[in-house]
Amino acid sequence: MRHEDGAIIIGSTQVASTRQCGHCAKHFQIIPGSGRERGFCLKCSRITCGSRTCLACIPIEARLEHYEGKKTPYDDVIKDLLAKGATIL
Amino acid sequence: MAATGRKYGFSGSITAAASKTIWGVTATAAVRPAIYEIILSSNTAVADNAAEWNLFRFTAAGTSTAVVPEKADSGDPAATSVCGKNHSVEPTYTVTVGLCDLAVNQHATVRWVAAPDCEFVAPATAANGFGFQCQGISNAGFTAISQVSFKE
Repeated sequence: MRHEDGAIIIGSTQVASTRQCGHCAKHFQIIPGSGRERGFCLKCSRITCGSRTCLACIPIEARLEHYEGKKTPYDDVIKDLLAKGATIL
Repeated sequence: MAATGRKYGFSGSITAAASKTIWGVTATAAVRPAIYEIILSSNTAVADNAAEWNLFRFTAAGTSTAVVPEKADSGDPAATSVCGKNHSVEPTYTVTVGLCDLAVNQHATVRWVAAPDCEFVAPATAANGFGFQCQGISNAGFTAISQVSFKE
């Protein structure tokens, strides 16, 4: 793997690397052949976990700031997603 | 993501059972705690049991035994984040996204550690934070011990 965002270690052996979704901040393992579809956001150039709420580009920093009641450049997209019943954080 | 901050840690212990939270870290309006390491192990006599654990965000912290986290640097002030263990009332989780799903046998000690800037960060909003919850067990419950390290 070119880059890892986290590591899972059992005993003294690293058994897996994790990547972090740039949109929801979830850590996940990439398991070739698992059938899980992940993504890559061309807007913020980060890997994404593939969940539906992470299809639109709303970086985790913007989600946190929106949750804290601050204005972000992503407010319109967030409003759209929330209107559809999504949980962004 | 979280800037380099003061580091703290503490541990919790429960008998592993479905929907039981072993520890929680709660933000305040003043800080965004960022979790960068989780260790999970057991001190029960050797047996073949397994459990699945997941880290979730919550919007209400539930009821737990209060813990004062230890400072990684003794020169730091006490943590601002509110920490608790062995919840008697579960936090209110936003369960759409489990952030770190770890399934592990009782025999194993599992450690998850984030690369710098890849921590789990909570919003600076009171009562919001993270809880590490057992999702289910196979066979019998066993004493699980989990250490969490965070910075703020």
